Amino acid sequence: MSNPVSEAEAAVLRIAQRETSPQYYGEFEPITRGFVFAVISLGILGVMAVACMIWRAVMRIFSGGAHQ
Amino acid sequence: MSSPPEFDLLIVGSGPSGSHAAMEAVGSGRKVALVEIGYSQDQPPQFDASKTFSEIRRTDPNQQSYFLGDNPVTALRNQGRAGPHLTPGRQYMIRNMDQLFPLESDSFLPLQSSGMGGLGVSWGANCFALEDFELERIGIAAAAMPGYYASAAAEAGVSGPTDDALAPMIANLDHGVIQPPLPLDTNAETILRRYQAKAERYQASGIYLGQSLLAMLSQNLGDRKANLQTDMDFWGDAGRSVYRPRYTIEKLKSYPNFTHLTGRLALRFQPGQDAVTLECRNLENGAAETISARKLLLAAGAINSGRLALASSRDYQSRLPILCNPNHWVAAVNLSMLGKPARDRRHSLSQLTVLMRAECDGPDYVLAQIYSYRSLLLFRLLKDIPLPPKQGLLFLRLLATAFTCVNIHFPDRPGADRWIQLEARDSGDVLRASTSYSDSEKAWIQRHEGRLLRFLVGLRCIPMGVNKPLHGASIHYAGTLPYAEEDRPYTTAADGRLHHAPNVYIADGSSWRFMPAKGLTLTLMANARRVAAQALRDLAAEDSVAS
Repeated sequence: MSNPVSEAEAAVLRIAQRETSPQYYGEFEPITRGFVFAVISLGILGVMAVACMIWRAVMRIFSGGAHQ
Repeated sequence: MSSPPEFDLLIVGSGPSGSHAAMEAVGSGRKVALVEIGYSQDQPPQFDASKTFSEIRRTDPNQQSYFLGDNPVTALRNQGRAGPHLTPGRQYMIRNMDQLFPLESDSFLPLQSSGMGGLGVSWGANCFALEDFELERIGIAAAAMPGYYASAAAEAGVSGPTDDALAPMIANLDHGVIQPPLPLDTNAETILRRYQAKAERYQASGIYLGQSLLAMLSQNLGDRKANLQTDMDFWGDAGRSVYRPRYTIEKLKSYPNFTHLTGRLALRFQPGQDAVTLECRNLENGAAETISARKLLLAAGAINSGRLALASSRDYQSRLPILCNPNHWVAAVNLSMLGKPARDRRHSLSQLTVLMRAECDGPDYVLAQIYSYRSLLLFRLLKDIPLPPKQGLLFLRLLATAFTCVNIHFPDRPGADRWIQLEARDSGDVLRASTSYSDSEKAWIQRHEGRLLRFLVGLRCIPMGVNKPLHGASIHYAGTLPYAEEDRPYTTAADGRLHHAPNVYIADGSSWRFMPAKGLTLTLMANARRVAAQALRDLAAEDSVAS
């Protein structure tokens, strides 16, 4: 029997189905508004990624503690 | 033997080795047969071959059928094992793999093909003609190879430059058979420009970068068409511009002296002084069948040829060596392309090749193939981005034109802890495998990877992460029945004959005693031709003695 689809996999698959639907083409197009725009945007997202990683680490610690 | 053998030459396997061995042999007029499982595509992907990836994305309402396939969850989970080339349309290559070729290992996860054309169904089409020192280290006499390289390349249709930094490394390939290169994509152009600006310095330190030599047509060849640069090469075989061994099998079928036996799983062979008998299972009705031939050429791939040799001796004790390139994927951002648009027209396969000189028991190379990521779709990357899906997608769109994938391959040598062994079970034989590397081997890989990453930084390609797939994902296997001068079991003589097994030849990579970092496929084809030619010479010699 195959493993059930996890929540994370389901989220990725939803995006996969959207990415391969012509009506949503624009949502997946490369953003090419120049170097400066890209650097600033990526910088903001980078900060968010660090925050997300810290948040997930904290959640892991607490959920691990709850099981003990 | 009560009746004469059915065939002069019987070849097991239809991959790059088997198909080219058959092509070499069939012109002689001898009765040649090729036995294989030979699964083929149930339904080839249906898309408009004239449209580019982005046009298809914008307009094709049926694109999910070939981009995602019937089972996208499995495809997503298999990503680490199978690599990006094994898209839904190519999954038939490994149909029933675990039932047909059972293999157990906690350190080695190879792909074994049941498809027509073997692992060539999904190969990346990178071509290398090995240098003399590499061929000698493998155990192949270099002097014989240029002619066979030329025949293999002419059949496959190879394009690429013959005058760049990598040209000296393909000296064994007649440049006359190479078609002009296809244009590079925008991302690769910027990387190549930066390399060329400091080429002398890089080359002095032993790093060579040039456009990849590919079995992909830039000009029509027979019924195959030049690549239209639609960036759909991962998803289908439009115009047959990228070579697949099944094209050679189809060509072989037009020869009256060629017999194609599909739907059969080779189980064991029985060598003899006058003929060899191959025992098979007919997969349609489960019946046992035997096929006899004067000469048997094993081209089932290194793992399965090794399995066949062990099963034929019912040997559950011996361990055979196994070679497989360790390979890592590097995700990098080309700063020169950040925020800039890229040309729509391009091909999807490797754009650039890096060869970095290394030292390990003599001269050696580490290889890197540079790809521009686009047509494999963004969703595959999302699960590795530490952001919520929406922000992760934004992140990938910002990087899209600058995103560069680098596939690094390291050479491999036999090691005491890398082996396969047959184990008898009630349910049937199972191959067990182990592939572990010593600390010093790991340190060597780490050191050379670090040097390559620094080189990439110098080209303004900033590595964001290194993915180390399970060992076996390089899909390059060799070395189970290595060349040896001494007449020992499970070794191969220099002319391709398997020791202790009269009339059995090794036509695939099983016989290699070293695996270079450079892609092996063109050399597999050329060497298979060399071995087939040797078998034909031996047949002729036997006939002349008999008459």
